[in-house]
Amino acid sequence: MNTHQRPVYLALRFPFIALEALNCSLEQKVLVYNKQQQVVMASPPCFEQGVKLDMNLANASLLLEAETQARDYQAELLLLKSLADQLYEFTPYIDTQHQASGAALILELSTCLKLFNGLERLLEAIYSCVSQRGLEYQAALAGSSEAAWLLAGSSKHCWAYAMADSDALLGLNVSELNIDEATKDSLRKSGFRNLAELKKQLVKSGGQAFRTRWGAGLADYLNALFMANAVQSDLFHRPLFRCREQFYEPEQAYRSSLEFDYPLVSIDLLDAPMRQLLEELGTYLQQNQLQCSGITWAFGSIDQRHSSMPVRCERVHKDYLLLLELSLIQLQQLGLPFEVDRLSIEQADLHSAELATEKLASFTEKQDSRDEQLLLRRMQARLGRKNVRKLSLVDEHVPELASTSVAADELALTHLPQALAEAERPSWLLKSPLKLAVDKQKLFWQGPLQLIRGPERIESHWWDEPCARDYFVALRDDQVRLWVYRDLRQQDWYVHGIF
Amino acid sequence: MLSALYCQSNFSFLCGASHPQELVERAVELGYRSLALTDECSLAGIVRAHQAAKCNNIRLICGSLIRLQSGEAFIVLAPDRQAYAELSGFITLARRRSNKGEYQANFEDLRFRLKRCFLIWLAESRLLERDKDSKAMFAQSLAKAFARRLWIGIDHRLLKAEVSAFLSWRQLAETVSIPLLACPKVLMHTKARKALQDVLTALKQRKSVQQMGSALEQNAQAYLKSPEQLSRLYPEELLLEAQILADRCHFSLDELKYQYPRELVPGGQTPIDYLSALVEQGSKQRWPQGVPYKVKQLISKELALIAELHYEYYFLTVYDIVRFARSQNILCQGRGSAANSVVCYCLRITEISPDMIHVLFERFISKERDEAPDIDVDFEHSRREEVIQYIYRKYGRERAALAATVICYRPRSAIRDVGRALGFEPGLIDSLAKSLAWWDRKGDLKRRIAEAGVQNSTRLSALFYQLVQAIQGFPRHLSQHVGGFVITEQALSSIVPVENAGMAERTVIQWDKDDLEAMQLMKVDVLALGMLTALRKCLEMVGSYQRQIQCLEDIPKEDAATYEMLSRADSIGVFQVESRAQMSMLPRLKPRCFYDLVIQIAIIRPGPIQGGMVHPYLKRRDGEEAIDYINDALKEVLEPTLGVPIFQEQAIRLSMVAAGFSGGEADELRRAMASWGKNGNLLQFEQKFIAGMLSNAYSKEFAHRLFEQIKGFGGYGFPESHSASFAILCYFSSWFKRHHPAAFYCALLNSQPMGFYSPSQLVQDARRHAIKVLPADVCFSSDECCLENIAASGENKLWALRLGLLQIKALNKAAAQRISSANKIKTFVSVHDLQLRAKLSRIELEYLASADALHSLQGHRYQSHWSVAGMQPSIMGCQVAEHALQSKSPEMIEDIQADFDSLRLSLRAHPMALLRRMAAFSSCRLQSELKFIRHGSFVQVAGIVTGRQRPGTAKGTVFLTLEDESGNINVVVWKRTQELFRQTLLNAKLIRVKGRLERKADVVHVIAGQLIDASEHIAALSTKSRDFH
Repeated sequence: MNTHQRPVYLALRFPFIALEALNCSLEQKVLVYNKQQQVVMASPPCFEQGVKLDMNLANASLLLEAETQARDYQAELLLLKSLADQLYEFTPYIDTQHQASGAALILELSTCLKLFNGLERLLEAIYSCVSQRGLEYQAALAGSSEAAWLLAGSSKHCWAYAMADSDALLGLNVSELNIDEATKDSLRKSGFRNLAELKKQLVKSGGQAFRTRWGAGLADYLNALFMANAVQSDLFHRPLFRCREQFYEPEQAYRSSLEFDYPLVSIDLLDAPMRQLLEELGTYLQQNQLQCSGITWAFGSIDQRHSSMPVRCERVHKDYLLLLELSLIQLQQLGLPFEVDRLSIEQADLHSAELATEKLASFTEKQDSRDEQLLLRRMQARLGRKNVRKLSLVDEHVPELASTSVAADELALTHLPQALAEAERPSWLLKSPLKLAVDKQKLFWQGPLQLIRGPERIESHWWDEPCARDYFVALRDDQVRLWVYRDLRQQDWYVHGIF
Repeated sequence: MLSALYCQSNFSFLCGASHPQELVERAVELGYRSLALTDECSLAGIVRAHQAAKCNNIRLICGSLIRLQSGEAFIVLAPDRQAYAELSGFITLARRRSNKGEYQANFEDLRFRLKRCFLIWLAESRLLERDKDSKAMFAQSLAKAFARRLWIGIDHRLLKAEVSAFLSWRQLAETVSIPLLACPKVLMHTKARKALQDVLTALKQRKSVQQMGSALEQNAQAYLKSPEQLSRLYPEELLLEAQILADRCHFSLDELKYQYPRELVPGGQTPIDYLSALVEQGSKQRWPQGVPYKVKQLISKELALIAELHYEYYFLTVYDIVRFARSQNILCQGRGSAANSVVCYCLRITEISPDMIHVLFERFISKERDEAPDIDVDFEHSRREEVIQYIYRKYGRERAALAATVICYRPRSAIRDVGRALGFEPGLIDSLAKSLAWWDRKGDLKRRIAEAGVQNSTRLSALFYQLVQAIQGFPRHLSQHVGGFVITEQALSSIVPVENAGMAERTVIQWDKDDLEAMQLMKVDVLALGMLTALRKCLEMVGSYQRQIQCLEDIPKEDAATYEMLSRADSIGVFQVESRAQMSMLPRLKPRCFYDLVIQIAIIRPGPIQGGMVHPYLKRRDGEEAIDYINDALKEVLEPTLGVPIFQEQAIRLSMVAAGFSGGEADELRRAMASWGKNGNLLQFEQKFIAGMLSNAYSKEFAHRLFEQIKGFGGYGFPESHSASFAILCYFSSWFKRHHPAAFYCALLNSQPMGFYSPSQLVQDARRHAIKVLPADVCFSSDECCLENIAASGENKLWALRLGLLQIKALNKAAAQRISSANKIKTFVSVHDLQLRAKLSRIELEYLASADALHSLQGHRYQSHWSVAGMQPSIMGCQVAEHALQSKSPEMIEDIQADFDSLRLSLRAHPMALLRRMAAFSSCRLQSELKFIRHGSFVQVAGIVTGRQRPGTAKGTVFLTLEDESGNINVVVWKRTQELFRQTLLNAKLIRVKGRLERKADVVHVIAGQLIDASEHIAALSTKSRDFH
């Protein structure tokens, strides 16, 4: 960037991003809260009914009937980043800000003005891009990023096409400055209510007065605010060397595609083109020291139909053949959507390669683990991720609640407290207990039963579905041991498991 | 017949799910012969269990559950007195070496400390193969250490693998020759308490019940079972062994004999001789002209009874403490029924002489009552710690400790904890707890739950309600009593365990005042009274410029101007008569003498109000109603109160003179009246009373009428002696207010927290009395508020009140004192000079700047902050960077807000004076205008909420106090209005009221029709309301 050129900063602030990231409509009554049960954002109808930010959620709920959602910070970040990726086509100098004071994008436009035929046209294009995303925003232009940010917060859906003049800042309140609350409080205690008063002090005593009292951080911030539109250059401390703006780095995206001379009608025919595209991906991964945890295939037909097929792995890797195997397995399961005229990798989940050291002796273990993974992945590919599950223990007294299944790639509980671990439990627990026949005070289940151990009484879950049972170990005449219980509420007998 | 040897009550905090008395009563129902209360490392519930056991004729065994650091658990039982002392000492040792609420015990402690106790080693787990050898070794050590005092306790609760566990333990027991016995674990008296027990367990682990998993008890078997149930669970020999063990335990708490500390009596004298000598010496000081004959008779009578009941040491102990306090110039005064004692007056424990009131010793001590006396002594609250440390020094921590207070679940805490345990949303729990007013009854809870959005029809909400009801009254933890000391001759830990309190250098016993009373242990209440501190400070100030006032005795008695001031209800800050209700009564009663004050203080109490005494008294006082005493005997009792019984002592004396009761019997009647709703004792007294009156030739109709009349207040009416003790302080404080108002307010401000009113309200009142109040300033203020002479004119100096630096909220005492000391040497000339000489940190300077206390050095607070922020470190200390501030000075409202933030008051305009310019308040009348408005007129008022009161006698009416720039407005809120504007009434800081004005004589109220929350106008102002019953 040309350091001699006068900078032009566009600040875009997104006051409702917390709602938009959750796909909530701004017309509905929605409250977004944090872990401390405080309202961090609300839709405009809520504010009209007296809701305030940082209000306790319970109090806010008393004011109106509203949908409540927990804040998803990650979703907000992703949304912001995806917008930044889009705006990258206009300028490489984008700063994403996602902090307590709000979410914003600051764009430096001075280098792009010629390319887009002037500021107005450029702004039109940017605003159009943002509007298409359906996000509420506030915008302002200024000679510094700090000033632009500040001014954007003061305007209501401002389509700023001109640089703000120096007086625009002066009316702003100290509370709107992008600095910590303690410093704001200290400034207010010294009588500074708005930026006009700050500027007046700056003019009179220079930046040193602020530097002494509140440190270089505030002094530089004020310099940046007022310097942008300053006329008297010697009043402000201009840095000797102007800092270069940082380039924005959009998410690396990998795309590649192949078009066929004639549409392919069977899966076998797709093997070769898939292999080719994946080889290219493999080369790309190697050259960029990246790994991949999944791809999305896109199929296109002659008549512009489109279909996608994501293929995911448990771990990141560079093994494109694994991806090929998984893709073919999945394709065989799903079938070709139509005659395929175009095949592309439209998305690859890329990660930087980890430089991991390996023990020489662990090669076999590693190989076994890899085989296990492959098996798991194949099963998941065939059956669906959620359909391949493993056992996880649950710390519970009630037997049918004492275990559960989790997806094979999730963490499972494998150890229980000692008392539960030592309990005598059948190796096979019936999915549902089966009622026993009782004849002349004798129990029957596929044969007469004799109680040999027990009772072990379980009384629990009074807070949802009360359970009160006396469990026994019963011996059938064919020496099969069963786990039976008497329901103390209904007085019926059931078999629950087999040893 | 059975015995339960392992029972934990709710004094095993957050574990046991039944009260001790519930366990005892249930054991009786089931036919148990005895029950051992074994709370974990505690004897906190043992007295309650003992009382219940005595009433129900079942033997209580004293014991405790102890878990060693190694994990082994034991029941320790006390078979005899010595064993009990061991157990109590053991618990003390384990508790004293740990933080509050915890304990540490190990095997060596058991071995060396418990030589007579019985031990039951609890077989809590299955003996796995890997454990057998180590368990066997441990068992051998135990067997060797405890010989025939050791058993292994088997607990069958239908858990997993109990049979195999039992077999392995039996094998071990046979190997080491330790007998087994049945020891079922009991956590509740009935299995219906299982849900509550689970909630308590979840609370202990700070989780919800849904998250607890196997950490909850597997079933509800840990309850008191019937003999039939136990015989199905345990072999006969185990049950028998348990019974044999129980039968060997014969200790009863009744064997505990309290001994007063002996060192108080000099060698060669008996206690009564020494006491008598002290009383005689004191009486000569009290009556330098000669002790009147009547007084001598009273003294003899009292000393005779004291000797007969062996209470000499008690009086000597209290005398010694009071003597120490006086030697240190700490103001103190006994209160309560002790003021009926001439002996206490001679010993200078109390200040009520027999000619001030109609003393009645039986109200204090009587043979019939058979209870240790209870003397409460108030000390200056700022110096009470000196008295406490004296007691510790004199008797040692082994023989003196504070009594406990049991902190129990109340509605709000019950809602919070049960809600948390059931996994309710934190926001919901919060709103539900906050929506409860302090006056809501149990029945209101269901409505509040429904209002909060919890559907009453769901299972969980029904459970929530039941559990909240059940947990109320359950103990949560022990705290220390305000000042109740127990002092013994022997080691205190041989009677009751002592543990660490939350405060450093404090220990508490595990019994509260009710337990002490039941066990007849002496308790001396070393209480704190802010007014005594204020009076001493006042004396010091006044004494510095008026030499003839050096002590309270120098204050002129029966000063007419003082009474005139009180008759105008100008009593803010005055002891006991500054409340809204008292201020309403003062203009009607118009006190003219000391005894009028005694009546004034006593008459605004539930007893006289509920007994309908107030209006008849006032009417007779105003000559609107004739007085008929029936005869001279009754006249003597009732004449001081114009024929209307007001004091408890009058109820006692009436039954003596009219029905022929002895003094002790009469006091028993009074106590029966106090509890007449709870038991049937009153009936027997009623019959005797009527018969006695009839025999004294009173009519039956009159006898019944009189009995009913005194029944209404006999229990609730105020003791005359107590009222008189308070009236003395009331008079002194009134006199100071009337004649030395600057010193009076200054002393009150320096004695905070105390009294009814905030510093802000006191300052407002001072200014209404034309006292100039000067702001806190580093160049003029001391650490405390002080008097500043603003116009010297011979002896009639004009005093202003200078606020002290300690009024600044965040400034610590040390910094304030440094500033004050340095300024006294030489007045500060700059902020730099201040920082250097007073060694202040930057943050302390900022506190001073926030309080505008640098005004004389820097100007307004913006400039002060600017200067302080600019201070830079240098070799010589901080220097101010010289850049002049360009900002304007703060607006008035900003200054007021900053004043409240920093000082909790402002000397500038009252916020209401500024708000009145706004349209919303333009129609609101000032408090000073109300007296000119016609009774019954519609009126609007507004003010900052400074008090909310809902007296129990007012049938649900709430009295609101609003402060504006001209004074305090009394607002009456009926029940219907409360319901309509509940949130505003409970939570608003600033309220606008529309209502009707009501005037009776000089007392003005506004009856609220509508309450409007205007808090947003003062949202940033730090104000506080005083809310109480």
